[in-house]
Amino acid sequence: MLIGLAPIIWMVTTVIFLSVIFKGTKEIGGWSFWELLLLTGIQEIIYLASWTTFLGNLINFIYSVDSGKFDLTLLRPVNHRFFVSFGALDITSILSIVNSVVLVSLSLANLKFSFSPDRILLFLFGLIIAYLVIYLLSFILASFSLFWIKGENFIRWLMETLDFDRYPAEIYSDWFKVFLLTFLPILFLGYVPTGILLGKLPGYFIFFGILIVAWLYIVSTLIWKKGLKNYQSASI
Amino acid sequence: MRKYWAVFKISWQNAVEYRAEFLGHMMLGLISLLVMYFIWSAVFKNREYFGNYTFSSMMTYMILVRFLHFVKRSNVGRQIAEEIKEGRLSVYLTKPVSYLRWWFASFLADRFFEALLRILMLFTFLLLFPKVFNFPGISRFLMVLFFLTISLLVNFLFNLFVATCAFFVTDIKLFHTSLFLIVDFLAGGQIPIDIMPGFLKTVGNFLPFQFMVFFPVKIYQGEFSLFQILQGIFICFFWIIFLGYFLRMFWLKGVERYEAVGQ
Repeated sequence: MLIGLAPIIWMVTTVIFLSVIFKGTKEIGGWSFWELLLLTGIQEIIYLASWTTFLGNLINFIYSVDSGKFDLTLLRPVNHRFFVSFGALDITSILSIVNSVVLVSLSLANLKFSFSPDRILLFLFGLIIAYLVIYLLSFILASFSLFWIKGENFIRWLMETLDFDRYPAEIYSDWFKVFLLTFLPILFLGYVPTGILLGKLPGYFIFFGILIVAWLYIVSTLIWKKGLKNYQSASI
Repeated sequence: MRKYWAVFKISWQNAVEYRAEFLGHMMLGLISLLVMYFIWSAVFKNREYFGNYTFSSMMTYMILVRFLHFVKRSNVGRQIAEEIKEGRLSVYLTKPVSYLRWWFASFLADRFFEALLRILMLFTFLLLFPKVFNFPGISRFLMVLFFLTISLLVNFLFNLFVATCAFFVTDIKLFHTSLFLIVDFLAGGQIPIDIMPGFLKTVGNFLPFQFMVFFPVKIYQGEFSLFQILQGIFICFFWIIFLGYFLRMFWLKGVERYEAVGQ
């Protein structure tokens, strides 16, 4: 039961932080308090889904490259990329998703907007794109460990940059927003699906998302293949 | 005393050896600072004050929170708890050294090194962003540094207190992260205690965690009189005695209970 406590506390402190900020203003970047909570909840669902399915595996992969144990993976008659990404499930995070679902439900109950089937469909597409974007970004950074042995810091950097996606992109300068939608497309995790659901972003962002996923997939495949050639079993 | 000085020197060398990793870790904190910059810019867009804060004083607060990261870090508690859990404590118990003093020497070396790097970071901010980051003058800055030596002691004792739980429960990891999220929040690590909602403000002002972030920042910002600072030092010493007393009691009970089965 205690395992799920940290995400709850994190969420409670985040809600308090937002409620304090909204004491002095009605909206931030054009987003209300409940809209921001919805964004927090949706981003957290994607984040926890990532921990459940692949983040822990990719961190283990980085350590296995460091220790030379990755050799054992390469000897297995499996798709190595799939194995290092989705080899094991971390079910401890599943319980924490419940907190986020509660937050999303609470936010939706307090928001006044009409649902339309096409917007919900686009939102669901947005969630799939969000999951693929975080996976491909994490995979690319984890693959860097095939070139630079101590690669765990890359993932840590990525996790830290997710903070940018916890708030509406309208608060950033234009060039920075473009940067976070293209070169480091983390705004596709929470901001884009939530923006589409709330009708704040046009549907064609999904099309951009598909292009980003395709681009990241090509880059990740190239880096992975080049990395495997570069791998020297640098065991310690 | 010489043996602890030797531990201090070795720990210092360790910290220096991994300086690149350390700098990388420090740079990570700049990301959340940048996020805070954007959020508070948005909040201050149509207003001059938020509570008693101007945009510049809020940013100074946020930059100092990053600077004070070394005061509220919780790695020592986790490391000691690991040693207890894995039975590695036995190695120290058979040596003619005090385990806690050994760790304190190592803790000081690690923190002093980090403090030096963070002071450099602070002066870099001062040079690059003089409009958003205020410097109160060298005498007040030295007063903050003096106060931080006491805050570090509070942090060390609290960390040990948490680590001692490893004698009684299987794994403190389960509540360690949660506990230090609360500590960070109540220390004023996310928002200043004086703008927190009523109940949390009362709790924050009562607990010793405020001395790790909020109180030193307020000294820096010149919002406390000399009397208030002396009062703070007095309360800090009260907490040090309180934590020290219970820590000693818990530690002795824990060592009595300790079985070095290892893993």
